[in-house]
Amino acid sequence: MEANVYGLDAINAYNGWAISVVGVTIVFTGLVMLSLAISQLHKVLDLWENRKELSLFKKKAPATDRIPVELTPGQKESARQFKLLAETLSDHFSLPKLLKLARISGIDHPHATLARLLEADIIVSDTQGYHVLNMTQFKTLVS
Amino acid sequence: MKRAINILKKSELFKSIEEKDLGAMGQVLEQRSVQEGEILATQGDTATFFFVLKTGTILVALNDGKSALVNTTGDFIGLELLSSKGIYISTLTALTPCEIVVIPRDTFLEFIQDNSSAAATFMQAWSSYRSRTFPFLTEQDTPNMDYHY
Repeated sequence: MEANVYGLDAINAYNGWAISVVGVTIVFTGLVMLSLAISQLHKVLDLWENRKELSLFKKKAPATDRIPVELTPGQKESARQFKLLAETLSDHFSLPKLLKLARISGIDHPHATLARLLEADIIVSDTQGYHVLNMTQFKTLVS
Repeated sequence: MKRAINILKKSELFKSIEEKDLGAMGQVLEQRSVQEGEILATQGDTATFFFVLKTGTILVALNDGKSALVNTTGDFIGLELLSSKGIYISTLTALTPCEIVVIPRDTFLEFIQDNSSAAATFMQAWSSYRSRTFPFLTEQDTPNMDYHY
């Protein structure tokens, strides 16, 4: 190898062009990757902000199996009375009207009893603002 | 006050609102115990309070005999479900003993007006909550309700 070479000759002699191309490629690749990473950063931040929604981080909800409702003899009697009153109304009846009838009829604790019947699914919502008697549940729990 | 705010934070409507924003309203929040059969609001009366449920079951009686039950901690009873133009449009009756947080209506409306970002968050949550919990509540039931809560 010649000892005293300078300028372009030296670059040619010691693979300078190849080294500079490799260097430029490395730098540009790094810059492209960096810009791609920055452009996607908002997605990572969104994920972090909504991490509670991710199933990976979501705490397991406690088991929500409903405890079977049991009615006391007094509640069963009140349920029968409520059923009789509900039958005087239309199939899809108004809950406030039923409650009013129960109060007039002198049923014990009409409010709490009504809440109990709703909890026991003996009276269920028709999702239109009215309620219906669930006879299957009534027979299971009361009869 | 802190306890009342904690109850609000359990509500799906208020949970997205910053605690400092809730704190502004928190000064006037009040917790109240309600007895079985007690009437919290009567249709036609001047609307003075909105309510957030802590425990118990409340019957919301609307027009035409329609009604809804509110029985989940954090459930909010207010806006067009309860009042229009300062008048209660539904009657609230406690079916069981209840613990509630009482929010003065004027304070709540001021909060909505003064905190635009919090208000937007709240109204979005309310719209979703309303259509899910009270699907039968149509515009027909609550005419001309915009900005007249």
